Amino acid sequence: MSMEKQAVERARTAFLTGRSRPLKFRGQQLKALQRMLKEREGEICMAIKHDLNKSQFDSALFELVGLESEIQLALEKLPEWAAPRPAEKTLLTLLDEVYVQPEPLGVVLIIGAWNYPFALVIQPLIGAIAAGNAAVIKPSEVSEHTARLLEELLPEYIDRDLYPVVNGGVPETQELLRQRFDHVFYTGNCAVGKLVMEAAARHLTPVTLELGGKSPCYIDKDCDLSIVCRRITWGKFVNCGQTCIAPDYVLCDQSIQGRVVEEIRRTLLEFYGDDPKTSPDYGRMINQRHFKRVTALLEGETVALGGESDEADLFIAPTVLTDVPPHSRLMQEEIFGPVLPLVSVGSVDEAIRFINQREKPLALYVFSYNSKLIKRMIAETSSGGVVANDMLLHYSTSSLPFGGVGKSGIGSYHGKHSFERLSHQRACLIRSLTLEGMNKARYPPQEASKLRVAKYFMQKRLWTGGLCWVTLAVLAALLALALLIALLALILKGSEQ
Amino acid sequence: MSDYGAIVQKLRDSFGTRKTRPAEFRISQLNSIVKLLRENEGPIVEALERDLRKPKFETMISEISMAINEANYAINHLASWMKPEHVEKSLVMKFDECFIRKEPLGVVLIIGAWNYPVQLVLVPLIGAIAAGNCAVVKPSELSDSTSSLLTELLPKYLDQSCFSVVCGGAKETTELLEQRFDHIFYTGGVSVARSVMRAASCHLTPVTLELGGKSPALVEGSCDITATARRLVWARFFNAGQSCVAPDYVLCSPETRRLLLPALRDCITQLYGTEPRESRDFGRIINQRHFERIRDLLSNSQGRVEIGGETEEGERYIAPTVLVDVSESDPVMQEEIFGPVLPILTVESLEEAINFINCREKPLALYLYTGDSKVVTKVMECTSSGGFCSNDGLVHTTVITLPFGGVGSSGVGRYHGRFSFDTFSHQRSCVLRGFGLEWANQLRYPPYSEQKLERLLQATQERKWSCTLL
Repeated sequence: MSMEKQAVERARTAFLTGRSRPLKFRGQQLKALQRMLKEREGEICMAIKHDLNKSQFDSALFELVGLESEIQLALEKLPEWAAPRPAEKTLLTLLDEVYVQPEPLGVVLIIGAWNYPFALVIQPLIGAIAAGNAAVIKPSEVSEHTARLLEELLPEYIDRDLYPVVNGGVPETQELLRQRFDHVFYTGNCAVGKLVMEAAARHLTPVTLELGGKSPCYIDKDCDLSIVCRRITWGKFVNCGQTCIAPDYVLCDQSIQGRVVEEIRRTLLEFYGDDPKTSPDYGRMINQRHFKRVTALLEGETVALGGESDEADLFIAPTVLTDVPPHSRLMQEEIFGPVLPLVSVGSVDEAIRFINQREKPLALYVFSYNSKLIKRMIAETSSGGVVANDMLLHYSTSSLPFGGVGKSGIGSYHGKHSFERLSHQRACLIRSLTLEGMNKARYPPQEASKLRVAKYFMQKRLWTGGLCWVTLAVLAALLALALLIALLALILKGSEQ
Repeated sequence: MSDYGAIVQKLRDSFGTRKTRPAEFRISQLNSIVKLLRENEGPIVEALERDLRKPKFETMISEISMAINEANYAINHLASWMKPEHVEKSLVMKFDECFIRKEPLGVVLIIGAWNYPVQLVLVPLIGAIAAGNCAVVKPSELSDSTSSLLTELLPKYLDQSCFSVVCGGAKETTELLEQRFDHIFYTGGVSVARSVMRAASCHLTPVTLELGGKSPALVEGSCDITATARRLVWARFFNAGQSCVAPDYVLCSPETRRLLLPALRDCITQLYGTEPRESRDFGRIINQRHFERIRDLLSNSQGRVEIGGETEEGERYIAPTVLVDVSESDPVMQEEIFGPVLPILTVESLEEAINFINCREKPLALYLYTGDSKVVTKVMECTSSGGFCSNDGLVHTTVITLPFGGVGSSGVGRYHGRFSFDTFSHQRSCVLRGFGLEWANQLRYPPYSEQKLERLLQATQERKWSCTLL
């Protein structure tokens, strides 16, 4: 039996013991993860630095802080999330218990990505644990230091049978995908996303696919470009552009392109100094393959800013390109690097058309003072999420579901949405065997009068229609009676004195 | 471009004009569905009579009434469903607008099934319309009278530029699935579902799969046997057993079985008379293939026919049948019966019953008949299923405020009522900021420092502190 299959079977056996279900256990595991983040922060940041040259601050901010809040939220809210949710009753179910009970699914497969190698594994894991599941964790082999660290750390803190880490490359991932899971959670690209879903189809396993695409950023002409460009520069060049919701390209009027470049130049100086290569805060490309992929995209383009690269260091300077033609190679694939094309559009109409001719992106950004324009852009396009006048923020708002639509993904998570996504919402109707009289209308032999009664009961809900008045009348009568009794009691008391 | 390609493109172009977005349009289409059902009650009853010999009562309550109910519920609630949902914010986001917008997906595909051919096409369609989508509807070719009727009626009542009906069998469905949709909603069996999901994966299309399986009915000793038997009989033999949520088999103790069998026999007689074949209230099997399939299950069973067992090929009639002495390896226990045959298996204890259920695929429904609430809690906690209903059958699927769907091989996703709207919507997260407070953003920008990080952490953890303070 393969190692992958063994890990899955162990996880399933562990799940079937029922120990991942009690809220107390889930809380313990989450607290253990919390401890791990605190106690091993240094090692975690070091591993991420080796993989992506992320500074300690970058890692803390983008990987760890978010996880800390997610765990804290899950610990606080778990009793509420896991509790049965009463549903509004129909007249037919007036005397019954009607509710939805969240339940664990079973064994979840979590396939991480390399750009936020820690967060993109731990965040879904928090949801899986909170929902009472077991989980097999497959970190990306591309971010190899973090993958090895996860394999070492997780068993030290959380249940090693319920949450095994399985490392490996394509063959190991394929072997994992041959196994049966109760949910497969994948973060990565479209091409592999399709393969994951195809594999899941064999077992009818539901999937969450957090993918990507080209997230557009529209800049309205009449904006304070210094603030706009500072925010865009931050969103684009953090993690060296290797963020699924980074603004992939900018759409703006030709007349402001020059100023946009200038403001970005000014901001880059502020952020990374004269030479970003020497800044401890500027990242690197993950590996040779991606380095070559991104530098190749620059060929034939007009470099307005940056463009330098160093293969040995996997360094690509923050780069801005102007007058990028829509049909260029650069505009056909997600850049996933520190290269920002500026594409000219003459109007917001043209921008909307441009966006709608392409696949629905994971994120859409719009910068404008004009709230009508913003609302129009939102209303006439679609995307996983939208941020107006800033970058990336919807990712860190745990009350907002984070996910794509169309080719940018299936499903969403974060906060309560992770819990929901990795639970089964079981519909429950608890009846008694009495009051069989109420059921009489539905049994054969049938006649027209029975049908009328059955339809009435089926369609009436508790607080609407005719019953509302009946109920109110009954309540009013009871209230009147209560008041009368109180009044009588007062009168009697008074007369005694 | 194939015909289907042209149809989908036409709908996509219509969707692009945004005509399906306004609430008025959606409500007008939903009202048209109600009108379709009210004005064509007679033809619908007749079509279902031809396909399944479905009794008029069953057509009215489980097809027409149910769909009208769903449409009216959607109409009444649409405004609140469509409203953006504002969410809780942390302190750092206090001046921002943070909300979830409900948006249509685009062009969806709805593949219906033959056992409730009206409901299983119209109820998802109601959800798709309510959510603002265009849709291609593919009714089941097996229920051909009803499907022909729907093919004729839907274009008369609904906007033809936004909603199309496609007919055909396996070949046509396969071709249709090559097109790109924004959601595929399929009701049917497990093996076709796999093909549907595989086809969907080529375009990364999300799916809802309403499947089935063997839904167990545990009859525990403390229950009222007469009421149990009546409810079991009704749920099992409704639509001649051809319901995805029908109780597929019974688990009970030998003693309970001894009491249950005569009660079942009495109830069958009460409901269908001494000759169910002559009852107007008992249906028929959909076609020859399924008739033979069920008849073979009966003849190959190693169990014994305790009640019923008669069949009549010309009419595709199978009597309400109860089988006993059935073991778990029996052919009747290897597949969903989907017919009027109820095997009874005996177990020695509740634990054995629970283990039996858990060794099998998660069912679409799980039924428990008991007078003891502790038993209800135990069975619920120790098992999993799409839905759970104690002391009755089928009815949990009619509660519009409960989600209807499976888990594991009984299905992916859910619908009915609000859940239909959610299934066919995209929940788009929106954050709207202003240009002020840029000084607050300084904390997040490079060059990074220990101080900046500390201050930023303090700011983002504000929510926890304010909770403690309160």
